[in-house]
Amino acid sequence: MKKPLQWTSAALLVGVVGACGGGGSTTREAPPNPTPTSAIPTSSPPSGPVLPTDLSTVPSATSGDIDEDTGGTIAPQPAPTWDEQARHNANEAAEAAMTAFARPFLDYPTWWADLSPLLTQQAQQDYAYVDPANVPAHGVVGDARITDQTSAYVASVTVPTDVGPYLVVVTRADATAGWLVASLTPPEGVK
Amino acid sequence: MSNRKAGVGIGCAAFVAVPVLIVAPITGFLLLFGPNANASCNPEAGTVSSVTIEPASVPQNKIGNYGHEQLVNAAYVIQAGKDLGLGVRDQTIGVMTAMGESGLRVIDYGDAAGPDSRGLFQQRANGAWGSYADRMNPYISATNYFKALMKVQDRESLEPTIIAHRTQRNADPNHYTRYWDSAVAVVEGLSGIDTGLATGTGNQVCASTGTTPGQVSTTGWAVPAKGPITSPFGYRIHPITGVRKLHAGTDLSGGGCEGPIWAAQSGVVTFVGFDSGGNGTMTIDHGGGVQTKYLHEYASGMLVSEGQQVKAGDQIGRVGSSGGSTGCHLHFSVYLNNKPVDPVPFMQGLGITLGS
Repeated sequence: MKKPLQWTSAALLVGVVGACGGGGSTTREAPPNPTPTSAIPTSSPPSGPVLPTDLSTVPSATSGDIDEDTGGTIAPQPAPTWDEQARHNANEAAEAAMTAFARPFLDYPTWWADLSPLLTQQAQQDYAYVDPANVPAHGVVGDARITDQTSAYVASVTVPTDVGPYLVVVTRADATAGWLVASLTPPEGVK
Repeated sequence: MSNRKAGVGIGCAAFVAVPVLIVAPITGFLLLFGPNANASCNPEAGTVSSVTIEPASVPQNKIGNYGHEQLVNAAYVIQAGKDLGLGVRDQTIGVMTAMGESGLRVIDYGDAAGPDSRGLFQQRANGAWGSYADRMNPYISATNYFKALMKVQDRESLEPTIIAHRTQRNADPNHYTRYWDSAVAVVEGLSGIDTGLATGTGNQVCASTGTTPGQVSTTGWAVPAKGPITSPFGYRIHPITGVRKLHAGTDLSGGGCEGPIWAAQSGVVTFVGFDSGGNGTMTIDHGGGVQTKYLHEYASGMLVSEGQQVKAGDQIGRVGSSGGSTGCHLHFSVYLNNKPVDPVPFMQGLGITLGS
């Protein structure tokens, strides 16, 4: 039993092609009026992959649909974008986790109770076995700085500590979700 | 049509999925396999696969960057593992760990995290690792290392670096990954045996099967998994409850359990884990409002990490059957501005025929 597919999002999808086909497209599928690549600031994230030329024929979901596999609602929140607030929040999340992580003097239950809520599901599994006594860093000694924001869902953040700069990766699920830490990688030569 | 195809693993011979016949409607969810199905794609554990090398018979030549003194220490590690009845994967994890701790040298100093750390495994003076003399003895320190490693449960379903990390409880779970390939080379070079351990698998559960690249089209997009299509994108109405739900992607048989899953396009991995329905999920952001999602892997079948950059055609996973799945398959979704679109015509427009 199937119902006819919905087509209501077709106009929106056509908009996507117009908005993001210009900058990064390097193939003949580029739209007729491409923006010169040089006009895109180098710090701007890539504009995305090549898309089919005729997206209007591709059936699409409607907001509010229930996803059969996940049981979740389709598109409950808008897709995230980078802005000043997002950058601030990403830096704060990385710095908060690094501060909670770099406390080798704490007992494990206290250390983990503070750190684990700041981590992604995957990171919670990875870091649950760390003995805080083996953490080389003793604290954050400077401002966190985003070094990669290729995706609006992920940022690489450098956080200075007493043993050198850690690379902290933070992710978010959507525009309204908070940032969570996926990994804290020590500087070269520190384990 | 609710019977998604179940199959036999191609790379991991001992993993057999049970074909399931259900009389449930298409929306029927069954949790048949846990999120940690045992991936038996490693050399057999225990003495069957143990390798042996007499420390006294280690040759003078180098293996990689490791000279005679370091190779003799590796031989002691291998011997200690054998004497405890451990298989070659555990023995190699021991060598990898010593490489990551001391560069395979019996060093008489510690580091920033542990000034009291000593020896091949940088064991601390906290009583857990024996006396100073024990920690400075390559064979005894390796024996104590392996005794701790043997307490790590379910090692067949964990990555080598994670096993080493849970033994050492160091600060960076991924620290040892970069030493795995050298450890495999040293163990094989000293023993003269093809261990069946693949390089590049220090952070993967399946050590015997490396990854294989997928096919990338001229548009830069790649096939996410092998066909055929077992369930298309579209709406279904539950015959009893009348609830309308969207099958928000295309199901591909993917070559059955443990078959390769490839990144459909270059991008950044934004999520790896399980959703509230227990579906193993990997999400890649390709920029420009385009994302792809890959569902139903087991934990052992998700080969990438959040924040990792991948290229189109990189193998990112292995087909599984976690969450709302009745048999091994890949559920592949394409999202444009946060909404799923039908992957078949989408990929067709990029020169890729799904299911073929």
